[in-house]
Amino acid sequence: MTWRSLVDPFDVTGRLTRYALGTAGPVVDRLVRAGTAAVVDRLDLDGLAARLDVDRIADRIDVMRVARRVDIDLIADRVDVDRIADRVDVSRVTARVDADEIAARLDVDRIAARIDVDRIAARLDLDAVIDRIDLVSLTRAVLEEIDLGRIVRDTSGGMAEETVDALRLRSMRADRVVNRVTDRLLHRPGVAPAHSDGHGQPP
Amino acid sequence: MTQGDRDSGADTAGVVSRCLAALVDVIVVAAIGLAVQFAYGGLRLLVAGPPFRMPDPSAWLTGVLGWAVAVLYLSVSWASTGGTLGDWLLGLRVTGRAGRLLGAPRALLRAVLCVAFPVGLLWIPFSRRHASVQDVVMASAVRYHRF
Repeated sequence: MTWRSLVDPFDVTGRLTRYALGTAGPVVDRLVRAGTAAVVDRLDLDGLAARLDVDRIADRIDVMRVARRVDIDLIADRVDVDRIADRVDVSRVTARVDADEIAARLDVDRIAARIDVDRIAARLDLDAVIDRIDLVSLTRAVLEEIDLGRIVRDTSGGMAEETVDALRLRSMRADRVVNRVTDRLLHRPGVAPAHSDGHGQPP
Repeated sequence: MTQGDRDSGADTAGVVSRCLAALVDVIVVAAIGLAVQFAYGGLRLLVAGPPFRMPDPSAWLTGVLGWAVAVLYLSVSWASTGGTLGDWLLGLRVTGRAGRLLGAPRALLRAVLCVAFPVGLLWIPFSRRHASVQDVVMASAVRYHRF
């Protein structure tokens, strides 16, 4: 520094300006803080909140714009699904499910109408199913169960009995006709049959 | 049934039933005769060897044997069960007038009369109690009956 710079007014002015600016920053900071604190202390925040129109603010928010900026994949990657699943009480959820109501709301006919039975049948391997069935044992068991021999015996026996009964009835009617004709020819009073069914009791 | 009903023939069988029963019995007797002949032929085959031949008896022997088979068949049937196969088929029962089964001698005599004089059945429509000649002679009756 030379004497000339010490007395040069421009240099002196510059130095004074830099010093003033260097000391003004902290002073301003202190003044702002003190002022802000005083303002906050004096503010009635509850009254201010009550005067806020939240609905109007919400109307002015562009939710779609916010949603477009949300990275769903990033959020999903950070979700621990296993942990969530562990916290789910399945028994409690199941207990709250009304199965009867769900069943009542199901349109079974509509579901059945949408089932393609032909397609299911076409995919069935019937030969494999038949190969797994012991048809001989099954047939034998069925025949034993329904007792076919007894049915044949009962049927044939019943038919024979009906035939014999019919023969007896017809012959008895023929007897009565002959007796009636003979009685008329001989001018004899007829004899009423003792049993209308044609078969008397054993003596 | 009262005795009066029995005497009036209210449940006694008519001529049609009894003729049909007799026809069945004729077939049965013929079958028995045929069976006897087959048995005789088989026995002869066993004893004398082939060929198998049916017996060829004379006409009078055939008649006597057939008559004997018929009498035996009828009398045994009537005395034991009260009915032959023909009687069973037509639902008839041969008894005394009181309703009891015939004894062996009476059944045998009735069988002889039936085989010797089968047209005695034709008296049934004219009889007040629907009795054949054999029934009149032997005091028997043939009634409807379910075996």
